[in-house]
Amino acid sequence: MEKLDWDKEEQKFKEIFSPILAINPEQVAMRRGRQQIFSYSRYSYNNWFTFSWLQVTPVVTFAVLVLLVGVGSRINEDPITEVYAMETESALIYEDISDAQMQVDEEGEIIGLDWDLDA
Amino acid sequence: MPEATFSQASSQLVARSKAGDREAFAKLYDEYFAVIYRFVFLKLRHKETSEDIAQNVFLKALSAIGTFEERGLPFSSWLYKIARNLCLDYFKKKSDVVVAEPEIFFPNIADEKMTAEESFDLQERVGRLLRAIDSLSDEQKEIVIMRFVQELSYEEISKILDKSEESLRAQNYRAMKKLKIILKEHGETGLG
Repeated sequence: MEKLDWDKEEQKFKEIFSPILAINPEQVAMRRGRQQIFSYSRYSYNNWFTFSWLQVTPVVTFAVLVLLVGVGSRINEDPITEVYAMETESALIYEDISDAQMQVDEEGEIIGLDWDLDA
Repeated sequence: MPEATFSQASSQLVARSKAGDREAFAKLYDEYFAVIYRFVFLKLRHKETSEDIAQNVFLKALSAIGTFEERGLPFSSWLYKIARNLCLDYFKKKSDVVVAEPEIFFPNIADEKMTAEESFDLQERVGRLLRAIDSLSDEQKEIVIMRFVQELSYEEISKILDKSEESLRAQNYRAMKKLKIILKEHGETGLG
C-alpha cells in the first residue's frame, strides 16, 4: 500500500518537474558538436598515423644504424684501405725523419724530400 | 523521449558505431545530446560550459565506444556516467565555481512559439523548481534530477551512481518529502 502511494507521489513529481524539459541546448551548439564528431574521425586518423610513425621511426633508425656499422666495419677490413693506411703511416715515418732527408735550397726553403731511405 | 527504455534502434546504432560508422554515432548524438546537455546544465547552470561538457561527453564516448559493452547498462546510462565524471572533474578543477542562481539562465529556456506571458510563467515555474532542488543535499539533488527530469529507472540510477536501489529509494523519498514542503510553501498545488 505504502509502495503504491510513493509511486503515485513520484508520478506527481514527474509532472511537476516537466517544465524543466524546456531547457534545451542551442541548435548552433548541437551543430557544432556534430561537426566535432566528424572532425574527430579525421583527427583520430591523423593521431593514429602520427602514433604509428612514431612507433616505426626508432625501429627504422636502429636498422639503418646497424646496417651502417656493419658496412663500416666491412670497409675497415678492406685490404685496399689497409694499404692506404700503411702508406699514410709510412709517410708519417718519413716526416719524422725528414730533417735528414730534406732537400733545401740556398735560402733554406724546403724544395723537396728525399724519399730514398737508403740514400 | 523516454529515457528508461533503450530502444532496439539505439542498440543497432551502437553496434554500427562500434564498427566505426560515424553516421550511426551522429544519430546517437542527435538522440541523446539534449538530455545529456540538460543533465549537465542542471549541475553547472552555465550555458556555454554545459554545451562544451556535453560535447566532450560525446567525444569521449566516441573515442571509447569500442570498449562499451551493454551488459545491463544501456548506452544512455553510460553517457550519464561519463557526463557525471566530467562534471565532477570540472568542479575539482574549478573549486571556486559558484552555481548560478536560477534567474541567470532564464533566457535559455525561452521558446519563440510562446507568448510573453507563457514564457514568463514557465520561467517562474522552472526557477521555483530549481530553487527547491537547490535546498537538497548534493546526493539527493542528483537522484531527483535523474528520477524526475531524466526519468531514469532506479535500476539505471543505481548503475550510474554505484549505489543500491534500496538506498536510492530511501534518499529519494526523503528528498520528495522535503521538496513537497518547499514547493507547497511556494504555491505549488499539484502535490495534493
